[in-house]
Amino acid sequence: MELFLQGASDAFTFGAMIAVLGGILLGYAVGVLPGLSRPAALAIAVPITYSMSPIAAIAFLVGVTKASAAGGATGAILLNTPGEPSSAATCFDGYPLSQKGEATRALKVALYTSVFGDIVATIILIVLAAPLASFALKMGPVEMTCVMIFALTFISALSGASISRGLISGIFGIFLATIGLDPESATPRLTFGMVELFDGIPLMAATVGMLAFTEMLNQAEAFVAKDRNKHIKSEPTTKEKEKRLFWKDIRRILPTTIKSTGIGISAGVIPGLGPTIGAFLSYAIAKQTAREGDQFGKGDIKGVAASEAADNAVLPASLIPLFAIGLPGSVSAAILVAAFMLHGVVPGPLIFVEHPRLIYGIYVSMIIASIFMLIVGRIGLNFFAKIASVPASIIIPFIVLFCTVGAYLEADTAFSVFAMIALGVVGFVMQRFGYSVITFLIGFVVGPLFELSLRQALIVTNHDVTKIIDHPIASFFLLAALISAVAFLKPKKLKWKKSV
Amino acid sequence: MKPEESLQPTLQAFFELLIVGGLSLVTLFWIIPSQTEPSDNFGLSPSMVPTVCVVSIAMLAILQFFSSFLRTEKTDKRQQGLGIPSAIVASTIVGTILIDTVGLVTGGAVVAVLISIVIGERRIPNLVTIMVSAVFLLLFVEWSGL
Amino acid sequence: MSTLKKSLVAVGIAFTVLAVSAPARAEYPEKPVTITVGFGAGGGVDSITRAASEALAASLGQPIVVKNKPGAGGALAATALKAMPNDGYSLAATISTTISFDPHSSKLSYDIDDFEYVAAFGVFPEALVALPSKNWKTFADVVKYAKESPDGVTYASTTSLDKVVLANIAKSEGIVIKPVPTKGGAEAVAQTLGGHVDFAYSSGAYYSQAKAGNLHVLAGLGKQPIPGFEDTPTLEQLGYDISSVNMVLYLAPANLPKEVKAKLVDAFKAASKAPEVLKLLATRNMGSFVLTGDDIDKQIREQSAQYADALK
Repeated sequence: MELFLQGASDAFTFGAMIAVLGGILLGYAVGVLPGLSRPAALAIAVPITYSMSPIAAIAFLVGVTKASAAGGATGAILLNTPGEPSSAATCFDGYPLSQKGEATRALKVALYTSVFGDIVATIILIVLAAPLASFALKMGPVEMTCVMIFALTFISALSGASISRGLISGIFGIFLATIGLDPESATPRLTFGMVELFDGIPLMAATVGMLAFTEMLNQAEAFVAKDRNKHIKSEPTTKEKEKRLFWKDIRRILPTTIKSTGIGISAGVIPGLGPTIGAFLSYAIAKQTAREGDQFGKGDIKGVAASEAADNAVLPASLIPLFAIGLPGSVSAAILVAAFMLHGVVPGPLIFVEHPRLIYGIYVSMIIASIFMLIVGRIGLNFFAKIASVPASIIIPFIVLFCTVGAYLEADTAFSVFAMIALGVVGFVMQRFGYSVITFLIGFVVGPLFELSLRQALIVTNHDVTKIIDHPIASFFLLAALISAVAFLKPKKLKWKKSV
Repeated sequence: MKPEESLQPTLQAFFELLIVGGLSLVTLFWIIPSQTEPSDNFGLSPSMVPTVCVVSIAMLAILQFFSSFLRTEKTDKRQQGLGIPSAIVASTIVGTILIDTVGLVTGGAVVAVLISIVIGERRIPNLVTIMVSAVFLLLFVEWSGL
Repeated sequence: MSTLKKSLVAVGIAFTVLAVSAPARAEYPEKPVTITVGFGAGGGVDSITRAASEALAASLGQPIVVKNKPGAGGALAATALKAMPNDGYSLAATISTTISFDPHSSKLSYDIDDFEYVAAFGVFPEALVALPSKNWKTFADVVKYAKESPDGVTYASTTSLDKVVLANIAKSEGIVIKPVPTKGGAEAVAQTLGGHVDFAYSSGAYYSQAKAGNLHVLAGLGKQPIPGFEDTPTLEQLGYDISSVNMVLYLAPANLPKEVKAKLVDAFKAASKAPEVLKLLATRNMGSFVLTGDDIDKQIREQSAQYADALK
């Protein structure tokens, strides 16, 4: 208890509070702007912390991560251009809401559910780190393979109007993700001899290119077409119809938010899944379990809540295996490991013995960060909502600029910008023919994880599939995947026939 | 529906099959064999996952082709032009080359101004404003180390 | 670019443009020296380089700019360095296997003769580790166990070097050792802790778990015993003619002018004794082993020859 109070007092020092606030502000900027991605921002922010105290440094980086997850929704809702890939699922309902003139409402839902997911996951981290970490250790290759099959079964239900096209894009994503060094033999695969491709197509080039750049190409085309037909009176910019969030709205989204927070926490604890898969899985589950009157995909605040609560719950949860066993649960957590080491703290079993005061300090800073996030987000909200009324003639050049500069700064080479542009063009063509860029992205993110887990599982089981019986958790997820696949196919077919 | 439009979807579906299927075949028989190395892995061979992906894409493309006969599809309502997107891509490439050779600020400002011109901004004061704000923004990015 | 600019601002130089376009120089160094780290910010190579940069700047009389160019295990930075002028203003920081091993195992556009080797700091405490409940004392017990199990043993692998080392041992002992690929040290350690593999190779992530008694160190891979686990034998002590000594390596393009190289070697020698560098090496359990100039050149070439043999 004394140590806790000492830690708390460290967190309430001026320097630490300023660091948290700075992190939140930087994170919000990174989150809102498409083109600047969270792992890239963290990697660039790590050197800034060299001169800070350990608690301030880690609080700063946690602030960046948390706020970028919350800020990512802004672009998704207002411009159909998610600031972070993990907010891509927010587009499904956020953008239609904003087109209906309910941008502020959608932003409010995004902010409140983000903060809710974040705080709950942080409390879980503080209270249940040890038992949940031992659960994370139980997730071996066989378990991971089955969990991913389960997640993909749900997510593939999001593939859009044409299932075969949706699957083609998803599999194409998996295919492009196989570029790079073969994970097992470390021989180059589909790299055409380019050393830049040894680590694969940069994730950031793929996400920014496919999500933001593609969308700007589309919007530019639409904008110019509208401009040419000026004599036809274009419809006035949508006026805000409803800004307020009512008590009945909160009651309606609360169950979804709680469920999604749980999904986000699970995705964080299971090492490797990360926020993007967590958010999509949560949205897919919410959509599959929709009730009468829900309008998923057409602008339902439930959809925004599902994706945002899960997205933000992932980070605190991914610190659970990090603190307890030194195993990062997401890319961002992996960068935090580096920051810990930098300040002489080795994450792992001894961290609570060697640095209890620091850990308690970090816990308290994380709660402070959540509160700052709420305040900054709430103040920023009215300002951000105005973005929707900024003319496209300003938005388009600047977002393309951000995409270019963001891709360039990440690796300091023109290669990643060209990769970003190339994938933007591929995404544009795919969209023209009705292929979903979203399922492409899921395939691209999950593909390498799935391939690696599958290979690991094949090696440890000696290519004997029946050994799955020895893995109860794996069997459970595989069974769940099977049941849900059957369940999805049946009613969907019926509904589909009705609608055609 | 106009009469000529009833033929178009079939033709479009055929082209789609031709492109997706053709690319799959090229990848399957030429790119994958030449760009992977055989190795005695205990798990899977390097070419396994790419091959499975390409084969399933080809099969799904055939499925897609036949299913396109079974139902009329809603075509994407987005605009069909290609000129503007190509011009934007070209401007971005020019800007990137400038970023790499001259510098971040110059190249970035060129991207912003070129794209403004592409989407129809011709008023000089507006272009100057965009350029100046881009320069300030990029100077800030450089200074802050973001 | 951004880190470059930031560091420059930090040392009080406002306009890089001026620095880059400075007039022809009389004596090295006349302008800031850039070290491109082949790994991400915050990692071992990066933090040691940044810690050393102040001491380097002090003895060279010019600021040191640290940039990151992560990718392909340092190979991206090495490839880029090869194309840089050999004027001593462009250096790279990688690990020694980026140069001594990677060109043998995958097609790269550089080899050992494309660079000069200035210095190497610390040794990664590479080791083979297993759960204590396996009741293996050293790696010899693993071999004994593998001989009795028809399916062989599995281990979590993180680099292609460890695969080569263990494949060699498996061949000489006539056993099956199956590498399970992982994304890195942390995952390899977790797979071992969770009991999903029999043992693991780890270059440092295992250390705190081993100190806490959750993992048992079976063997060291280097020539020296692992600091803190001096009783654990190395693979060489167990009778295998193979070792892995991986260090943080500083290199420059080949044919560096003699006086430039001498100045750099002196500066790195001085930096290796800086307290902040020693402290960082200690936190990462990398010892205080330092090689500079001709000594590191010799060791890198020896290692390279050894790995070329092992890969045959």
